[in-house]
Amino acid sequence: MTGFLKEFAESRMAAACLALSLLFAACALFAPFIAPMNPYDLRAFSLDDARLPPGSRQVEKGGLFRATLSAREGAAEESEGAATFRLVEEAPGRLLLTVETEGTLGALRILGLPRDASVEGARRHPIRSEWTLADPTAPAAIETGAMTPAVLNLTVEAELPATATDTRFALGTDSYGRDMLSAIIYGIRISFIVGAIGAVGSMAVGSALGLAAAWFGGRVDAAIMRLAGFQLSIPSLMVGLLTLTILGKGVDKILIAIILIQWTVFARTTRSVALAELRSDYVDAARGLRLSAVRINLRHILPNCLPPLLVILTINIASAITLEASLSFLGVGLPLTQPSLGMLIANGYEYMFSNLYWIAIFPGIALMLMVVSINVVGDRLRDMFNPQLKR
Amino acid sequence: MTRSSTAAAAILSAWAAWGGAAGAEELRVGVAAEPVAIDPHFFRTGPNMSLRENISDALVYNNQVTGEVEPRLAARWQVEDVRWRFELNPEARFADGEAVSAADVIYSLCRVRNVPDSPGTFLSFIETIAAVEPEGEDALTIVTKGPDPVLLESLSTIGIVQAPMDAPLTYDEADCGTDDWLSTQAFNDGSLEAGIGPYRVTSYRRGIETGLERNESYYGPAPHYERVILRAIPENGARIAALLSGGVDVIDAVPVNAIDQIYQNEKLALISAPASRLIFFAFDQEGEPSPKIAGTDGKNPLKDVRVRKALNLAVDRAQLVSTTMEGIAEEARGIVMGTVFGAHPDLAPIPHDPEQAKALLAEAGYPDGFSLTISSPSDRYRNDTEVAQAVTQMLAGIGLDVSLETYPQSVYFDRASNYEYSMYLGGAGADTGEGLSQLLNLIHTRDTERGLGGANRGRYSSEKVDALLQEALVTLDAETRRGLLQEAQAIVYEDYGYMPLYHEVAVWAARADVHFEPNAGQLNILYTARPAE
Repeated sequence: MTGFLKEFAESRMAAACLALSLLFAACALFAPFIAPMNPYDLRAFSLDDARLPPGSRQVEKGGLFRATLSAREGAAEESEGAATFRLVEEAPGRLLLTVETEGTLGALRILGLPRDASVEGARRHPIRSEWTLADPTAPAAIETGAMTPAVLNLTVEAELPATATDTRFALGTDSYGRDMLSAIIYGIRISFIVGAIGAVGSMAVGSALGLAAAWFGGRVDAAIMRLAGFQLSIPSLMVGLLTLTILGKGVDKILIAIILIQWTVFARTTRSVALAELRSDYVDAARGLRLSAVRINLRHILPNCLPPLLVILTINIASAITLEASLSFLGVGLPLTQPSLGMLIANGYEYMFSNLYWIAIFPGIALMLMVVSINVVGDRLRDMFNPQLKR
Repeated sequence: MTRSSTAAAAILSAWAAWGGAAGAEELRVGVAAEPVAIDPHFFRTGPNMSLRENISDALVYNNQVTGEVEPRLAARWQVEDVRWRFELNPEARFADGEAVSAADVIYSLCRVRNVPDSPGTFLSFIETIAAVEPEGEDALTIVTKGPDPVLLESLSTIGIVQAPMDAPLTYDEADCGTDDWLSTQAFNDGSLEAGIGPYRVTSYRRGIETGLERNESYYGPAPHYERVILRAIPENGARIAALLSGGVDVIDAVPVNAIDQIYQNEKLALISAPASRLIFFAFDQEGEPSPKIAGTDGKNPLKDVRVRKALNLAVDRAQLVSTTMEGIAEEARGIVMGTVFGAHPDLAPIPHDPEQAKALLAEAGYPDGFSLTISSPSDRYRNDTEVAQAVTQMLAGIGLDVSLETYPQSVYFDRASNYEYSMYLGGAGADTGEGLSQLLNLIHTRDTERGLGGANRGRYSSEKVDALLQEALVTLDAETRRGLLQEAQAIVYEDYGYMPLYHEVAVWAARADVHFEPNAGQLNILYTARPAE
């Protein structure tokens, strides 16, 4: 075993990738202990934290006072909870709004002004009449043109300053206020588990069918191999889309789709190796001992088929992960509220145009690292099992 | 940040600009959905109705900005109980120089019922017509079955095509005694004109673009642009990139998350109008047990008004509008949007009160909540999945075990019509530009045979509401009718028959030097576009 590891580690790249793969596996196993929050618990996150850039702190929103003022001749006064809103005319066409609360304000917004009115030192919302003041503590000056209108209706929203909590979003949040880091860790968990179980399941089904084909030969062999050949002629994403459209969404259905797609590779490899082994003397010996067919296949032939199968297994884990991600990206994979990496990327893709890069990029990087590292490990194993490459 | 990504987008679609170096008298519009036919009667869907408005005038025009019905092919009209007399504009001429005649109008009304292979006809707009009597060449009288207060609005959706025969047909509710129906194909390949409009179609390539040319013999004010190209760009990113790179001058259906970027770009302008379409969640108020509810011993909790109220109180509409929709929506007050005829001015948005919601659930016998799967389309309305997920989150906040399922619209609405959902997201607008059609569609007891409650797949049903709406259907006096519509909405509001979320805001983006007029029906009106002053 140590020798094996030593030989494996002769490629530094492969060793690093093995470490990375193990790290991803650890993420998959221990996600609930590693992740800062549970992204599947809809109550754990709130829209208040939506779309925060990486490194932001979670905030506790301050109290909100909302009042509708109807100013006659430019004057109005309204009280809402502990806040008093006062509107006075400073000059014709210029009104001053003051808000009195305990402490200073964190945000001040003026809504519902007429189209031609504006607010000094405030940013207007691109579409609706909503002015957000740059400095919420100073009185707001509303410009209404040359004259003060007889009646001016407006809504004021005054917000107390938000207090930052200790929770930090290292990789930012998505559009639902979900912590990206936690979502990615849970995404890795789903992707990795689906990939691993899917690939192992395909290996079980595929090698069983491969052994059967080699053992019985004749019609059974022809039937199984033609079926595999037929299926290889259909693009795998098509098979996946078709299966999930018929069966519906869910982890179990994705697993079925992956097994349906991947069994062929295992079946063909097992059959070819087993055919060679069947001619060996030890198989004849086992037959001479009148051992059962199942025992000969499982105890004698299968172990000899394992090395190439293990290589295919590693590579197929990576391709199963990619397949699941593609299906989720296309929206037929896992349920929305339990995002895998593919779905996180799909969610973030929408936001690339508004420069919210972190929603798509980070899950993308995680997926890439995972697939590449598992592939490199698989490649290294193949090289080691290939005697022609041995020195 | 914005600068650099703008530049990147510009490079990305530089090829689009390559082919787009055109004269100043051409307007290029990037549309999210292309018309599926030139035939004005073929399919009742947004993009087709949008094109029809520019190439095939109806008798009247329903101006949804001012709320006025304006003359088009009909220069004047008067109404006496069930008889509407229209005088046609003698200046309106088809491409061959023939003036529009009563025979053309009757043929067009007949064709609505007889368009071959239509996936969705305009039938419901002419349902109330009992007879059409020609009065010489240039006048006709339409007789309705009962008083129809919205006949003009309905007629404003029917483009008038040139009849292949000279003698007027006799209108009936079948084939009007002929089988000579112009084929949709003939309109699409350009061998037939779609009618009389400010523009005429010169080329129509599905999936690529539709080319329009100014109709020089148009009877009304001439549009400014000589040529208009409607380019089909369904992908959001590509549509914005085309605008940023100068490949098109105007785009419609600007996605929410690109608004800021366009706003900050001085060379571009955003154009918006509040739209009449209400986005809502409907409750299954019929099924027992309801298909997507578990943990209630087979009862349907949504039949209990306290539960419906609790779900309504759980939703923070202000948050939904400001965060998920980024301010590009209006919190819903009633069913009918504020500036549309029939809106209720005194209804407030349903408040957000999770504590009261929990208390109501407990009072209704579900202190530990229940398990509910809500359903949403994934590609029908702007941000539909995001909105549905935000609502899922809010409902989880009052202690329900909620999950969300989404489907592409190709299967979503069929399932809704098969009553496979317990609580589903939908949208419905005021098709005729006034509130009655929207209310009949949404809150009238569902009766698909009579075309009532078509969007009411949760099957909300109230005898009082039905009676009020039926009365409004035959009330000609506008103020009385308005009162009836408002009363009906107040009842639904009290019943919590729906979970209204918000009214959409239609957004276009154009080059700052182009003046483009928005409209509440989300139609692209091309003939009023001109260079900005």
